[in-house]
Amino acid sequence: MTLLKVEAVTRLFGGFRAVDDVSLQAAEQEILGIAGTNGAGKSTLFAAIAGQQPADAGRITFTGQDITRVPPHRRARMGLVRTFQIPREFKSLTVHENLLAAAANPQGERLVNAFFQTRSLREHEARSGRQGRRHPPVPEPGARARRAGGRPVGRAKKLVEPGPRAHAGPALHPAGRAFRRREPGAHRRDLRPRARACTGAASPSS
Amino acid sequence: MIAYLCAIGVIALIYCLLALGLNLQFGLTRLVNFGVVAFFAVGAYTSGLLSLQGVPLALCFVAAGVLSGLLALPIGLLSLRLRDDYLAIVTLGFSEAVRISIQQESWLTKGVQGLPGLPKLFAAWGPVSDVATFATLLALVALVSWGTVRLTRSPFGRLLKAIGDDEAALSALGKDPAWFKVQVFMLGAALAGVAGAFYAHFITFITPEQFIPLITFYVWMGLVMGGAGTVRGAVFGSLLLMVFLEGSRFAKDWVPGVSEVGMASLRLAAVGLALILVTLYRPNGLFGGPSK
Repeated sequence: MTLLKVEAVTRLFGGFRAVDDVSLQAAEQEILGIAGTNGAGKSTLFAAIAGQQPADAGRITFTGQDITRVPPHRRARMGLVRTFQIPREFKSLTVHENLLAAAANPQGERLVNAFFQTRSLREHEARSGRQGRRHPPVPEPGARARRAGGRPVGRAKKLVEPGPRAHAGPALHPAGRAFRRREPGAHRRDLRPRARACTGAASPSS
Repeated sequence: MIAYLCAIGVIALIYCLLALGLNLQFGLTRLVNFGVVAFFAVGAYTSGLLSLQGVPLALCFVAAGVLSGLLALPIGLLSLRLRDDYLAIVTLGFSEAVRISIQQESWLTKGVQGLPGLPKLFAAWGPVSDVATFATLLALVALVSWGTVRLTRSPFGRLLKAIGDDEAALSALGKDPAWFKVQVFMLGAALAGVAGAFYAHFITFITPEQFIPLITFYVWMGLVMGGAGTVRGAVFGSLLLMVFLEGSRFAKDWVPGVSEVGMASLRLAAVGLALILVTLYRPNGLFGGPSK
């Protein structure tokens, strides 16, 4: 079943066509890689799919719904979650708080509840906190990436991620865990050939 | 002397209140608001005009906060569409627009003549009214400080800091930065409005020339010197700025050969030098903890 469908998506920066008429499809459980030289528009394509830089033309459908005009946070709530090439953790928050910031907590995050926290909200927070503590801070290269990359897992159906993920260590998405179980430590070698096996038709015409 | 110290103290606390408001906007959320004085002015004029109509002072203060907060709503909504540097320009322009509107709309604000004879807070208490104002302000600053700390530790405050760090990453997590930004913009503006009301009823005479962008930059200087993002930075930074600005008045007694006018210029130069030194050696501010 097609989970994500990108049809003739174009993104302009002024007169510059960063993404020009790209179409692709991804089925559930499928891993799809996008290859291209520096500046080919890979990251912009991901930003267009995730909504940070909405498409100027074309159509994006996710689980059968047209999301071309849906703001990025709503797309994320639908399960279309992206990570970033460069780890983009919240620097002024602790690791613990980074993970709490990712957890869904719409009630607790209201302004009034900063002053009038009910017991159930405090318990929700504590519960998320206990879950967060299972991710220890790891002082090694790649820990930063994992800290930032670990966030979206909670509700992700589909992770779109531009750029090489080798530096992130064991990938945290479901597919990544599958590699690890099969071949412990071999995820790096494993990820690359898979990423190259494109099944969609990413076709920037330039 | 007591009266003088009390006056300095009240003005310093008003700056504290403004800095605490800006701290929510810039310190936590990294919204560059160069229009602090606009909300200060609207608060002062709202409360001043209402009090001249015989509205009880307590109500005037509430109205000042509410109206300033509401005025921040359109600017906040506008800020959603702008990158931070453009927000700075828009807010600066907005504050000038507010000042000039107050100057021109004389049917409402008496224009350049200003509003004289505003009622003082606790006027019935006679000689101790200024002390009472000072105490009230002190209590309010303490309350707002406590509230800010509480806010910073809450999930709401956590998201504000996350917005300040990386808005796009937050939206990728399924949270909408927009409404949080608008809320914090309104909250900071409401604080500035209340500060304006205190100012109006302490000075008792307000004119448009009092609400020039220099006020905004004094608040910024205090916050940046103290350390943006922390309550103690906002509070002690503003107090320090006041010590600088007022303390140098006395310095002329010890520095020979400098005229009164020359001293005023030297005073600003000293503040500028202090700001440069702080940014060089303590980029997080004097009370903002060590830089990472």
